[in-house]
Order: sequence, then structure tokens, then C-alpha cells
Amino acid sequence: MGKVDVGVGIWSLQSTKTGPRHFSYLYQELIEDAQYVDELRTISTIWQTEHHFWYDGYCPSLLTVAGGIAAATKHIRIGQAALLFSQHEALRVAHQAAVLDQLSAGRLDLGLALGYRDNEFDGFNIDRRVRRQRFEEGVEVLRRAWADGPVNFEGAQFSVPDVAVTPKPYQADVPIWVAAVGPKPVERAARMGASIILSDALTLDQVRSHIALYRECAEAAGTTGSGAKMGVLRRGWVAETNEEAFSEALPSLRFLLREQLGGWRYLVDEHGEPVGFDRPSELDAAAAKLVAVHERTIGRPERVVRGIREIASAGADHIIFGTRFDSLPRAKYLRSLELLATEVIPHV
Amino acid sequence: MRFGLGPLTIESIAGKQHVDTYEEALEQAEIAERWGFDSVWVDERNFTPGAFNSSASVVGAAVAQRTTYVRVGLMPLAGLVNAIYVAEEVACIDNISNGRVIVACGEPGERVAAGWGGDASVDRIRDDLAVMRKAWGPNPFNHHSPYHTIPAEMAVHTVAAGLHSISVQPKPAQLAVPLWMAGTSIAAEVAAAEALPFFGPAHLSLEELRPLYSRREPGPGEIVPLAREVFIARTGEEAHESARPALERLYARLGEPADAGSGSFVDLARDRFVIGDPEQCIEQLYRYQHELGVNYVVARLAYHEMHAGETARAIQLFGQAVVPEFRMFGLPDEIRRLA
Repeated sequence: MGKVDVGVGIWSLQSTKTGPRHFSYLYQELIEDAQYVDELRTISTIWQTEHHFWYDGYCPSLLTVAGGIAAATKHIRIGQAALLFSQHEALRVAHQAAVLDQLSAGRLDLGLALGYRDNEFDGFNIDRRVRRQRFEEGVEVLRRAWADGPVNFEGAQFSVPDVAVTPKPYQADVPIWVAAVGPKPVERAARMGASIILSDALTLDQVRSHIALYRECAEAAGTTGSGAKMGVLRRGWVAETNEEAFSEALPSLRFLLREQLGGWRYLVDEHGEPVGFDRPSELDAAAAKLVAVHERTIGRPERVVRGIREIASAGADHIIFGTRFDSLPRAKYLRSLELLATEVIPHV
Repeated sequence: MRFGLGPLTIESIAGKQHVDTYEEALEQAEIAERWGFDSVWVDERNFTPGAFNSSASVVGAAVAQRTTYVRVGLMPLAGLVNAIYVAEEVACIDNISNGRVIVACGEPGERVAAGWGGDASVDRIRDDLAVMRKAWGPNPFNHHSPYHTIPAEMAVHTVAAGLHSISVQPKPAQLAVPLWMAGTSIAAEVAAAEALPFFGPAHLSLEELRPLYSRREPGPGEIVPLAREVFIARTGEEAHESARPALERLYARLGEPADAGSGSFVDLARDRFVIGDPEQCIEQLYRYQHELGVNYVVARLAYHEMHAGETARAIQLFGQAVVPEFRMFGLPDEIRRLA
């Protein structure tokens, strides 16, 4: 087991049914949280998450909001888990990411995903069936946009003429992370030599087999030397005692998994079919299975250290500690972050 | 009259690193807030040799975070991408700033000419504005035009079937985000058609601005904004000294009217740039007020040829010696002279 970085996430800025808030409060809270974790220093990255047209205000503009995070912080890296790249204009993302990387002096970890919600593709007038093509062409646009010289890209989804994108990013090689639930994006990331972010819907065994798949594909594609990180999103919570941590976090975790992820048809059954509110008993079962997965990173510091090591032993070297739960008291939440930074990370 | 700083010149010339220009821009925003400005403005350009800032949204969010009271003036381009993207970004910044955003949409002509795609026509820009306003409004909406189909209602999107509208989230903090149109003739036409303030650019002379500002009579109390290059110093000579290299470079490089008139700098500057000691700046600004009805000046004030300390002094001097003349109606002469 090599070195493991721990980031925190994932900021969605939702004003939910159980925790309704003014949006300005949520954005201010994000900035304060970012400054707090920035000062703790052991947490490597702050991760954001994106959706569009969702009823509770789920944040749609990650690179813009990251501009606010960058201006508020000095050390912490800023990542997206993930920007729904297939729903965006690649050239606009290239410009915004480059500016953000300059503004933050090279702290961008650009996390990209396909996106899956029909409602989002429909709102943007993009046929969901072309999302893979948009993603792959878009990554090529990013690469060319950040390299010296003009972009000159002619694809089925994007066409960018003889223009040179300015400014270039601060980092010579902006890390690209690809978010994955199933094996396809893992293979795609391996071919690109990109890092991966494995979904919170995956069990430890699935994480292990996805990482093995990545290594295999990277070998075949000749990208093994890319320095790619194997990231895993895990929900987590730290308190002084296990009892405290369970009573604080588990109800919120259950709500998150069933109501939120279920509502998006993000969870899948054993056949890979999405499970939504239309199949309540399967949804309950899928959510319960995941509670058992995430419970292992909820508890007192020693327990969470073990939980993180377990994920690292499956091949992960970056854990996104998903510690943003709806409507938990702020003081307890900040305490969880502090314990993570001071009592967990140094011992992983 | 009200005053803003900007649009911030975030670009790299003379060996300056991008990373430093961004940090300096945020410092300028803080200085402007300290010296009583009403707003700080961020625009975007693409494909420029000096690598001018290419995202008003990303930097706008940063300015929003670094300031507390000034409004954040955003100048995104219309006509290039689905207007929902811009609407979403603006709403996020409005929440980061707790309701301090002003949006002045720009014409996309240069990008369209460069082959980005998009459309710089009046119709397209008006359509983008309509989408943004609907997106910021309280209710779900749909929009069907030659430029936007929202939602698409594609048969393949089965989960979205039966939904004839969408709700763009989050909503801005403000009930209505102030909306202006920035640019030249197309912007003026859009502004007139939409009854929005027209925000004239810094590079046009008084004569060139006159027809653009006369397209529409502003309503009572309506904002009439104008951007100007402003070089201020304790003495007129000092101001001209610092202005010359900055403006000659700025306008030669932008391919703007460096060849105006006889081509001499004095000719170029006349009726176009505000240069001088505080009294001379005041006098020049009064002309725009009287002749165009301008009541909101966005002054650039910060240029790369100037050291960060000089820029800070210029912002302070403008805030102390020029702004009060226009803002403090009835300011006694005895106090005015103290400045």
C-alpha cells in the first residue's frame, strides 16, 4: 500500500427539503469550509459535484464556483467529482479551466464525467446517445487547447478552427480525472492515461476489480507511466466515538442514498439496470447494501483509519471523503473535518 | 453619478506571468472597494496574443469572494453557447456575492469571426437574453426559437418524458439581476429593443458614442453607463506620461483606432480617454455626463505598464479626488479643496 491522499467532498450546494437554506448561505458556507480545510493542511483536495435543473439548486457551474474557492484559499487543490463534461461546450470548459488553473496557481484537478440524467441532456438539447462521443472529442479539444499552437479540431460533436486558446493553464499538465461507475469509463480513462474517480455506488470488491481493469487496460494502451491516480469516493464521518458518529451520520446517509441517489436512478441492480422510486423494494435493498459499504468510513478516528486503509489496499491512492451530509449541525460537521485532518489522515 | 473599476486588464505583457496578473486583479478589486467604488468589472476575451482573461465567470466569482460591498460587474459574451450556461454561472456568482452581480452582456463578433461558431446577430443576442431572464425567473420555463430548444423533449430521453419545461437552478439572490448591453452598434440596437442600459466601450470617442447613446431615451432614474480609459495623477504631465505607452500598446494591439485622425497620440486621446490631474479628469467626465447623459462611469485605471503601487495610488486618487465631485451633491468648496 503506497501513499494515500485524502480529499474531502462533495460540495453540491443543495437547499434540500429537509435542510432548506438560502443559496447565498450555502455558497458562503462553501467558502468558509474551503478556508477551514485549507488551513488544516493535511487534506489534499476539495471536491465539488454538479447537476443541472434539479429541484434543490444542485450546483451547475463548478469551474465558476471554483473561482471563488481559489480566491479564498492558498494550498488546497480544487477538484470536480465531477463536471458533467458531455453536457458542456468543450472549448468553453478549456478556457474556464485554464483561467481557474492560473487563478489558483496550478491547483486544479479537473474531474470529468459523462452525465446520465435524461432531464439534463434534454434541457441542453443534447442527445444523450452522443455523450460518449462528446466526452472523447471534448477531451481532445482540451488537450489541443492547452498545448502550444492552434486547436484545429474537426469532429462530429465539436468543431474548433485555427485558434490558439489563451491563457494556457498554469500546470504544464492539468490532471484529468474521469468519474466511473461501470467498466467503460475505467477503460476510457486508462487509454487516456487519466486518473479515475470511482463512484460511491461501488462495493470494495468492485473497486478492486475496476482498479485491476484500469491497470490491465493501461498496460495494453501503453499509458502506465502517466502517474494516474486511483480515486474512490466514500461517504464518511468522524466523531469521538462510534456511537456518536453513527447517530449523527447514518440517518443522513440513508436519506442521501435512497432519496437522492434513488431519485436520480443512480443506483443499479445486479443486472446494471437503474433503480428508481418506481421499484421501491429494490431501491431499499440497493441503498441498504451501500450503507454497509460506507459505514466502514464512519466512526471514531481509529475505525475510519482502518476503513481508509482497506480501500487503499484495494489499489486506491486517493480517497474522496464524502463528508457533506444534508442538514447536520455545522459544529459537528467542522469537528468531523478536524478529526479527519488531525486524527485520521496522519495515521493512514 | 456612480463609479466602477474596470474592466480589469488581466493579461500578460512584458514578461509578466499570468498567475501574477490574476492575483493583482483581485488586489485591485479590494483596493477599489476600500476607496468607495460602486463596482468592479470583469470581461473576457479569447485568442489574444497577450492572453487576456478568457473567463469573466471564473474571475467574477473570485472578485465576489474577495469583496463584500462592491457590485460585481460581469461581462460575459452572448451568442456563443447555449445561454443556460451563462445564466447558471451568473446565478452562482450572485449567490457567492449575496446579490451583488450586474451583468453587461457583450457582443461575440470577434469570436464568431475567429470561427468559434455562434451568432453575433441582434436576434440571437436578444434570444440569449430571453433565455437568461427566464432562467433567473421564479418559474419553470420552456423556450423555442431558432437558437434554443428548451427542453428538447427528445424521445430518447425517456425519463424526462412528459416534462415540457425545466427549472434552472440555483436562482440568483437578487429578484432581478441588473442587465446591461455592452459593445457598439449591435449592443446599442439590442439595448434599445430590450429597453436595457447601453454600456459604451472605452475605445470610442464622444462623437462615435453620440449616435449609440441617442437611440433611446432612458427612463427616470435609469442607469446610463460608460466605460473609459482613465489615467489620473497629481499632475497632468505625470498622467500623460503614464497614459501614452499603455494606450498606444493597448490600442495598437487590439487593432482599434490607433490610426484615428492624424495618428498622433494627442489626436487619439482627445474626446476618447480621460487623462489628467483630478480637476482635468472631472472636467472631462462632465462632458460625458452633459452630452450623453452618462451617470455611471466604469474607469479602467489599472494598466500593466504601471507598477502595482502606482495602480493602487491611481485608484485611491480617483476615489478621493474625482468621485466626490459627482457623488457628493452640495460638497462645500472648502472641503473639495482638501482633496
